[in-house]
Amino acid sequence: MGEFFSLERTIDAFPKLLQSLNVTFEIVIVATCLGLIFGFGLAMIRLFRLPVLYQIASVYISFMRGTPIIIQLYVVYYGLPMLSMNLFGLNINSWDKLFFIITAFVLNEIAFIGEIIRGAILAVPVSQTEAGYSVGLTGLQTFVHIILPQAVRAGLPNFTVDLVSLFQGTSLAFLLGAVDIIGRARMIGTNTAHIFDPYVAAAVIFIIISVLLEFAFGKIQKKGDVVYGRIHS
Amino acid sequence: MKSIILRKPTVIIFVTIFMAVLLSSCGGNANSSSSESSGDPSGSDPAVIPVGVCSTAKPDAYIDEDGKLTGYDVEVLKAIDELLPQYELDLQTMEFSEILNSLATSRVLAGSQEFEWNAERANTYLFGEVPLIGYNTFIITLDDPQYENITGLADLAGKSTLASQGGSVEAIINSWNEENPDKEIKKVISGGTSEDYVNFLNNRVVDFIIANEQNFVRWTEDFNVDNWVFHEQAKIYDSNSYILFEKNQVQLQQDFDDALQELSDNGKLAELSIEFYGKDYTVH
Repeated sequence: MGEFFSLERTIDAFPKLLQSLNVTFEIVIVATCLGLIFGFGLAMIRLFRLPVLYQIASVYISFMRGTPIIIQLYVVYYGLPMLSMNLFGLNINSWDKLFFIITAFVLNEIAFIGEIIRGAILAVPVSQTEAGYSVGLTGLQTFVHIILPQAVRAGLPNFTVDLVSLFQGTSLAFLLGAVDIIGRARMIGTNTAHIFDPYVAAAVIFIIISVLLEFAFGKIQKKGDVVYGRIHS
Repeated sequence: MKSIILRKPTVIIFVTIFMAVLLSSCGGNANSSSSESSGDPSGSDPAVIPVGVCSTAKPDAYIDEDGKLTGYDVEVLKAIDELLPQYELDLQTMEFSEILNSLATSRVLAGSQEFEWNAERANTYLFGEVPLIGYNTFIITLDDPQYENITGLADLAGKSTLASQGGSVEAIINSWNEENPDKEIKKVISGGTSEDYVNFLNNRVVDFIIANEQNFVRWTEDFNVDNWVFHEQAKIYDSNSYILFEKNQVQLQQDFDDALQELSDNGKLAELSIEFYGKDYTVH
């Protein structure tokens, strides 16, 4: 049997894999941005316990956090076209598969980020709110200038973990035909008849990205510590 | 909720806007044309037919070094597309099992990845009637004296073989075990990649594999294997591979069959077989 692993083949795979990095980044960026926007809304629903919406949000979060992402991918990929046809008579089977993949990750991130935001806001002591009122700030001013910065600092570690987890979770997108890093690794393996090498190269790329993300957010976290220190002194 | 200080009416307004944006964004974000995916052509525009193919099944369907989707199945579909102006084939790459799932849910209307006929598939999908290529499968083992005189599965009772999920080998072994409970053969289920077949057999995770001559030639060449035996006397059965269709696409199947027959008659299928498999394995 031929060589199982070759450093030369692994290094050759790097530039080819990087061609598909944009697909991975697209999934992560869109899912994170929309997750932040709609996750904030979800957090507000849960924090204020808005009737009916609170119950719907709770069920939604339980489903999204309680099921593997692969199930959610399949549910969206096969379920959304069926739903669209039955409810609107619209056939969306020909839509780009990346739309369905990104939609699944967006729905997943809305739940996770929503809970991160809710936890972060709850982590800020009540005394901070009272202090804001006591110096004559309005509710909105207190939230924007006092609560939100501290909530961001409190939620940053969890958000970092979620972001790194999302990057790794995109590795399942190839199952539905997306040519992300893992999809590209499989193609290289098919063409070269050596699957191990591109997977090693893909693993290295993922590790580098994860380390860079943790380093960057660690720096932001430290900067927040400094600012927080000034507010209190 | 004590630490949040936004007033409830403000939040209600925000949430209403958020729900409106969420619902409206569900309807508006398409990345491709809104062409009809119907098997019934009408009007002057060709009907777009979504077709499922693999992208990591060399040389049946794969993406080459230049990023082009090619392979025997893919090139046959492209040739069919040229012969059927009433259709425009939209080749969508996906995993092998997803082709079957997509056919079952009408996400695609046709699929091609060397599908052999079996009764289970025939219940769920519509098979083409013109063969894509000959797919006679044989037993392949390591070069071991215990396998020297085998003539079929009966000589391998109690042994194990590799079966990919949803693949035809799984159906073959299930059927064999039902009919021959005293000569049961064990299945080891895997993703069914070329690496699986080569590694599992070479590392004796399985005792034998079932494959056709095309795959035997390719795997032994690609993976530098020199200790396999292709048991020509141990044919599993005569078989062909076919294009699969969504259950109701009778007209589409008939049109595809007519085109495929034309490609067979004019030698195009044989030419593609030689290009991708090194030999003419087509059915005449």
